[in-house]
Amino acid sequence: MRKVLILVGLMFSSLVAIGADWLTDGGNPQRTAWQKDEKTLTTENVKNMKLLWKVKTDNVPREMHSLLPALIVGRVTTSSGPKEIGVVTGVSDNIYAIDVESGALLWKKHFEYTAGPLPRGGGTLCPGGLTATPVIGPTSTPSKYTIYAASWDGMLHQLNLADGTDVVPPSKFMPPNGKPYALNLWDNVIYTHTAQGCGGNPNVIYAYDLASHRVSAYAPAGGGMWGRTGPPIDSTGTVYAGTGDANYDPDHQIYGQAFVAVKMDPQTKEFKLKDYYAPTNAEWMFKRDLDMNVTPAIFTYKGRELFVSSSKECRIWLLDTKYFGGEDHRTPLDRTPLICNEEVNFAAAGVWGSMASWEDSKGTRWVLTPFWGPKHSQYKYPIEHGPVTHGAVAAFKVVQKGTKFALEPVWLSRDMNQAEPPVIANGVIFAYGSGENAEQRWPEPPPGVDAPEFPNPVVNGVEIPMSGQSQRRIASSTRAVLYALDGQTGKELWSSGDQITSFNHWSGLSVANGRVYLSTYDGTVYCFGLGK
Amino acid sequence: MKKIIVSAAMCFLWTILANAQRGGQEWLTSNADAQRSSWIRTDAKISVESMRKAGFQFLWKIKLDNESKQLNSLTQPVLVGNIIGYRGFKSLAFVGGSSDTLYAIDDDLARVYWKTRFNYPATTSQAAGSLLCPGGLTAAATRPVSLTPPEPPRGGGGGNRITAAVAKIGEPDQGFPDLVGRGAATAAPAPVTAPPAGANPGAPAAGGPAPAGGGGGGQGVGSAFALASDGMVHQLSLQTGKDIVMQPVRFVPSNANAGNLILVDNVLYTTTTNGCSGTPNGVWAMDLASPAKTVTNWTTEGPNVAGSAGPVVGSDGTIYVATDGTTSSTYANSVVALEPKTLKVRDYFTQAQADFTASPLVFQYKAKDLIAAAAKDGRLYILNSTSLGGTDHHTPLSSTPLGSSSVDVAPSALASWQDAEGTRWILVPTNNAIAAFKVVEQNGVPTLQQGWVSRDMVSPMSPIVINGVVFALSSGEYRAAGTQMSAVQRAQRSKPAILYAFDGLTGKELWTSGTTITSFVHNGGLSGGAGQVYVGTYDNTFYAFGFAIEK
Repeated sequence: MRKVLILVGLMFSSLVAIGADWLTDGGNPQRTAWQKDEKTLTTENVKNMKLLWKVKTDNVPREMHSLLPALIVGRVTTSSGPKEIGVVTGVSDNIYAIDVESGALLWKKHFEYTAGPLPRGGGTLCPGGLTATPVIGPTSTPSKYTIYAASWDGMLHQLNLADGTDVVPPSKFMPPNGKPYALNLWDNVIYTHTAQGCGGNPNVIYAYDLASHRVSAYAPAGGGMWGRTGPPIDSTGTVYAGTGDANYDPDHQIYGQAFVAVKMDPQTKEFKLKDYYAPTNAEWMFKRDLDMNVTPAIFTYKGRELFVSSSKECRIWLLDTKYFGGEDHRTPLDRTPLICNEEVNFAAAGVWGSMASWEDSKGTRWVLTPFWGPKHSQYKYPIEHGPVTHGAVAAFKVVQKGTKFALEPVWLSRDMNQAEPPVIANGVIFAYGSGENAEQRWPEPPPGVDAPEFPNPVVNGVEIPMSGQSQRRIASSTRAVLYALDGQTGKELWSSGDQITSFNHWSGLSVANGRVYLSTYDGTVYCFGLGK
Repeated sequence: MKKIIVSAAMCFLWTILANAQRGGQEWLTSNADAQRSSWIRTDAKISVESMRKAGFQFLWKIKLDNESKQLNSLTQPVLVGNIIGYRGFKSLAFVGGSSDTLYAIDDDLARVYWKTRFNYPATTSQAAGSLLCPGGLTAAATRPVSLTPPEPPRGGGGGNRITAAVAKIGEPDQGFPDLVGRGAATAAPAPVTAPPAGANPGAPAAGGPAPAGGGGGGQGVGSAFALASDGMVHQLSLQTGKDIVMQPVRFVPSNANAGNLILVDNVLYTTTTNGCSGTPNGVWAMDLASPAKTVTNWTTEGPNVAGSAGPVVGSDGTIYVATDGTTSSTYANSVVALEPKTLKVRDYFTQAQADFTASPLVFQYKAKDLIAAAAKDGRLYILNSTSLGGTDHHTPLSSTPLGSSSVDVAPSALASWQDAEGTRWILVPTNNAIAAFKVVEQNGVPTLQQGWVSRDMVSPMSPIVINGVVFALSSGEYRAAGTQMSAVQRAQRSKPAILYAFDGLTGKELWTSGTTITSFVHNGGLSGGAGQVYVGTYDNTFYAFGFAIEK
């Protein structure tokens, strides 16, 4: 009897340990950032969250890039038994596997640059290095996983999560020295998109077919595609990307300031443009550099697969993936007024990063967006938690009124210093202010006064040479602060306060199995949770 | 400490090149460019065809807190199509106000972006003011311009060298397909759209090559220059309106009637006229590259400098001005060519009793600079830049009757453009219409042939040309012979201005502002580009017309 009880206990604990995963940036291929499998953290107990551990990696930053969001696998079979592993990627071509129970480093992998001499830096926007959060895919063996990562030289690596060894030799994928965004995995194909023309490379949606080893590419001629969590994918396998920095001129096959929807032909494996949507003020958005720079979220609502996204302009569009933009490609289901960026700035304001969406236990579908800078003076929320000057998370409900769908504002969070994309877990909204200085231009000094100079940052005892913009922004950045908010009201339930001592840039949150992960510029990985 | 340093000029070079993708050719100085052509060569929205349809309209107006001086109010706007500043990408119009203020107006959002008021020193007395010597700020601001006319901007898709959407698939194990025709996956050149690494991109330029778009290099790439009524010139940040790079420096005497500024090859030029506050009439040059900001001047020895555009610059840097016949002197009734910077007289053309009224204009004809000048004698002169008046200084290439009596023609300027067939046009505001002439050859000599004359207007001002459309302003100003009437009396008798658009080839009227403008225009005049046209009126209202874009 005692043996049976022990066996049942072990089985139960292993089932709990399997629990939740966070296999890709944005939580899932649809990029809703919703951790559906969270059971531990709740709105009642999150106030007791504490720092469980922090680990300093030896990753060297490149410009403002440092560590990317952690990927979490709840149960991995390793040579020393089953483990819950966190995979953290460093921009200097490093992958770290961490035992999330203890914070111990299990293994580290570094990719050597194989595309000739190391390229020179391209400034803040083109840092070089490994810029795309990898994606983890299960294998045919339970509890065995493969990490798919694209290194600086454009090669695709497939690593055994258990020990970091190559599953297959690295494969040619993308041009070297580009700037791909988070990888996505769907039906045995890896997807990503690139931006900023880094390395002199065109801005393209790429796909690597794992079966045929062929790379498909689609270039919308519409400038960069730089949604933080890469391209989302809907239930049909259609891939979406927002473009910027070009005119919208579909008559000449130029899809700037638009969302393009492309799908791989199952036979030829070539991309085909399936649909596209451009806001009616696309010309204005291009003129003011209000790029469609936000990874959309795709979700199901009342039997329809909907799409929501935003941009630096700071309004939200809701579209139906089936009738994407309507017949004229310019008609969304709903388009909110501006919710921020009254000054019409191209930096340090607007929505940056990615959207989030979840469905609560009552079947209400929520949409969340972060934004930078003050809220728009004319836009009101039924619930607001104080004045917002540096950024916040805004929450909307998707509602149906007759045949029409719309976004209704519900709450606006407290002020956050450069609010970043949130993650939802069990009714708790985890959000954070990155603390980074997001300006890109500054007023000139008066006559006779030299422009201020800022030092290169020093990380792990190493001085990191970098561009003037990065120097100035890093010197002016503060610290990241993690928050837990009530998903229904936005009320602050918990804050990390001053426990995190550095900022981050172009990173993100991960949540799984009662733990919340955030990394910072100085190479530190933080893990918060309830503890035992 | 090892730093990656790239000159600040490179940052602004990138800025301006980025502008060319979004903004197109810019109106950098009064009458658009160094040659004072008032010609914007291409425009994505304004064309004869688009102006035939509905769409061009009154966009907005904004009342500025400027105080008129005599009949002076707002100067001709100088434009920047797209500046990437710390408050975002902005499209700005810089308008001088007679009460010693420079305004930067966001010409999309119709807001004052910044304003800089130049404080008149308490130790210097301000002039009481008269019609000829109104006092206050009289000169339009300027941005640096290049000697050569601007090239049309390149359009197309984003900065990644893919001009139309394309999909391709690579071979197995061969990586990405080649979308840009660069061959197999190889090391790529420097990024196209990323800004260069370097020092604070907000820092002022220290010098650099002239970028495409017509803008000049050198000091002042990211700034505008303004001349206050105390004679001090300011180099102002386009972003903030604050003094940058150099402290304000004396250029001309206080209370002069200074003409519109122009900055070429690091030398700033203006004119003075009407002998206000004892300032001799002539041309002034400030060498911005010299530590002492050395000022040189040339005097007319009496006659007024004619016209409203300020000094005109040929493609070799020669400075041209015209003079009236109000007093006798060597250079009365003349078009004078001066060496750049030193202002030594290089050449001149004199026509007895011509009494030039308009600033001369330089235009290219068969790869040479020719000069056009209009006079009160009712003639339009064409001069050879290499020998203005021939060996005797009295022989033009040709002269053509304007076909209009020229009673009390206000100081003005010409305009010039070249149509798609290669025909060069010269546009002249007479006292009641716009007259358009074609440059033709007769016996191997360039001469003028009348093309068309517009409908009647009230005191028309210098026209501008945008992509083959001539915009002209019936200023509405009451211009009586003599100066007995006060400014107030003239203002009371003046009528509201009307903006017209004409087909540049035929003079056919395409559009009119009707009764939209509610005041007249005296100084200043039109400028435009990127689908919009601007003018400021006597009552200190700034108007914008164009094709609306949804915001």
